[in-house]
Amino acid sequence: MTHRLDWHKARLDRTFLFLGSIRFAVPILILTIGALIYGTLIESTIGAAKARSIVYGSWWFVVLMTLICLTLILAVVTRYPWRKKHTGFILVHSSLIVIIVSGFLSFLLRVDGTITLTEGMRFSATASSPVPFTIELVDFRKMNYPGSTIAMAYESDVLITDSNGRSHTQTIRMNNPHKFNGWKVYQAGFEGSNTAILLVTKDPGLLPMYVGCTFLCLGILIMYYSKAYSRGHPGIPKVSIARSKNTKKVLTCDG
Amino acid sequence: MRWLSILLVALFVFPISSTWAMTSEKIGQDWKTKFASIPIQDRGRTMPMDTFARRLAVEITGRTNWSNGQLSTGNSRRDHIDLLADLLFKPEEMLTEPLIPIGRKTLKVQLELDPSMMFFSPRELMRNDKLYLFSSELQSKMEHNHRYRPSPDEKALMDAQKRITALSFFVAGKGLAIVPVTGTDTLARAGFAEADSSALHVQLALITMRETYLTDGDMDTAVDRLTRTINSIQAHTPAVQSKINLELLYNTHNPWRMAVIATFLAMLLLTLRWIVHSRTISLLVVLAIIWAIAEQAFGLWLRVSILDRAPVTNTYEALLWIGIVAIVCGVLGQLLSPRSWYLAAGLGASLLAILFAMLVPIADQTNSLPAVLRSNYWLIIHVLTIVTSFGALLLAAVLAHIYLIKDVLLHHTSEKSDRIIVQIYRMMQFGVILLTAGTILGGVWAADSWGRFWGWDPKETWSLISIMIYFALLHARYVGWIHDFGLAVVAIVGFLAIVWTFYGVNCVMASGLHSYGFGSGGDIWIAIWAVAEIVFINLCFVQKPSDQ
Repeated sequence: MTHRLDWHKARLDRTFLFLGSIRFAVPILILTIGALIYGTLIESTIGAAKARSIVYGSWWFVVLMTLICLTLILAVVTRYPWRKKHTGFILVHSSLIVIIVSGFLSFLLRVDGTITLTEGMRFSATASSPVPFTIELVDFRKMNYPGSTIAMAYESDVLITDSNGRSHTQTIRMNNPHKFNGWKVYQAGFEGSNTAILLVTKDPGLLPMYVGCTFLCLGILIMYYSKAYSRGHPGIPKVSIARSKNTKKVLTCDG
Repeated sequence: MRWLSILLVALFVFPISSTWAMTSEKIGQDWKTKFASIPIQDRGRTMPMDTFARRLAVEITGRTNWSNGQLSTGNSRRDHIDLLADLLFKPEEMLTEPLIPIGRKTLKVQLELDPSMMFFSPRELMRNDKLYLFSSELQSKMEHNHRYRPSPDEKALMDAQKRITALSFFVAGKGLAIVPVTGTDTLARAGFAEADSSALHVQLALITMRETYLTDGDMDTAVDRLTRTINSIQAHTPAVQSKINLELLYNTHNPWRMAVIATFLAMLLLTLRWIVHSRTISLLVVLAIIWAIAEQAFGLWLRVSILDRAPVTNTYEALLWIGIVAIVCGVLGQLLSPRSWYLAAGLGASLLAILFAMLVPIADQTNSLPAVLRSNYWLIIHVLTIVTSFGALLLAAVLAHIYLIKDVLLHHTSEKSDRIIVQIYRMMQFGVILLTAGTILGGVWAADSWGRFWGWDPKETWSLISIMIYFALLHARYVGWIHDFGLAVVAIVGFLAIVWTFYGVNCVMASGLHSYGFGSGGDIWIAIWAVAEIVFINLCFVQKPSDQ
């Protein structure tokens, strides 16, 4: 937008307007695309752990994400006072903020660990481990595709006892973790016929992430239905119509 | 109303007639057809002998029919069942037959093989010292460095070795897994070398069959005896039997090849209608399109019924699904806006997708699923969404080509050009929302199976990159940095990113967690296509009008 829109009348600094504008957002977006391509290149040539330390977990990547967050926040704020036609816009951009913040939350607060248990063995909560419950592997089952050794499915019966001494049994299998007081216990793998590898995680960023994602999709749909987006895109048809008027050549061709 | 009734009749007549064709073929069947329908278990799946033999033939010789002039006379014009019987009944002789293809001249020179020959016998390869040396060198390289990328020669060597292994595994193996084990769905093996008591009768029947085969006797009776013996142990359940019949129908009818023919026909007729405007041709176009869609729907239905799973579990199925999405979007788009290019683009996109699917190696077409993918719920929700978005974005890219060729290269600008841009934009809108939703749903699945929502896996990262490319476009267009030309170019560049996400991440980068059932066919075609695309875009840049 080259002209100042009326809702920009709020006493906001020109810098803020710039930081919240597409003119700032697109270069940042392109920079991020470059960074991500670099990250996947490192992942494929050196390894996932290196990619994490050089790119995705590095200070400059965090700065980049913060800048995206900043431009999103300012894009939303500078539109104030919001009108009905901004619904989709506000929804999309604020849910993107929620998504990035949830990503930061997961990055900082997510806890995970794998536990390898043989049938009858028990993993106990200790002072050093943050897991507030004990897990006992009661039974592990592995099913193969008929006539082969290719694993078709595997599942574990576990007995979970929380810090208050209450216990319950639960079957966990692939794609079906056990959810329990904000913790999740996954069937991650197996060794031999009676040893299960379990993954225990707690991720406080997950719920806000889901909320953000839901509203993002909703927002995009609203933007599709709003008038500005439903006919091609603003500004563009004018250019083309002007051009087609200049070139009088009309051809009958339809598909 | 008249058209609607024609449409309905065509939709129903086609599968019925093909089934009828199948049964009528069965009446005059020879021993090979009977033998081909015996159920066999391989890699965890019960399939007709026909599929097993096709797979074996492709794994060993690289083709199902070979009538290569350079082969010794005995093997020319023989099909996969002949090869299976030969390998089963006279393995010693087959070891000296030229069966294993080596295409690379430089490799043949290195191995001191005759470079003018295409096929080599297993024995001459197994006795080749150079091959042994070369492969042990390669093996130590791969062990030393897990990320080692083999050279083209080394890839060809590995390929040849795989073929030798497949052959020796079959020849030295314990025979065919065709003996029912009472009370289970497992099939035990029966061969000539050894057999447990339950397989004894089947072994005897096979021995009779071998003698008949070697003495050129009455194979029909021998195969009947084998089938009777198998059924006397435990007849296959109707469910298994019906799947076997469906798979035989799938193999012989080959719906995707028929769909290619139908789509190609539809494109030809559409071009004809563009030149000669006639009602009859319009009707023929409609019929050809219905035929193409019916073939694809039929193929999809057969796959779902045979394999009991959502039809998007590997590259092959994903490409087929892209083909269906493209043609359906094309038809729906055309119905909604009659004077548009949706249909032409949809047919082209569909044809491309199916042709690419045909490059996928046969063994990767019907693989057993790893445990983590055994969730039809998530396959439908995540994979189907993502692959549908690929179909829509492919359609957008094809429309962009039409625009660039017609308007930029040939300067045939008309009022309709604006409409093509709107059509590209529409397909991109549809594709981008599905891509976004599908990527998010992938995260939700990952949170339920791998224990995290997002882990910067290359597949995840690249789908994010594709999404960001499309979103950067939306913003750049909003501020007027790019116009129609830019939109068309981004539709193509964005699709290049999609192809990289879908294909390059697995086959070229070869890293990450999303490596299920991925074949390696067609890399050279994709590379050629990507280069051609970049040349094309540059050409358009040179030709583009200055106001764009």
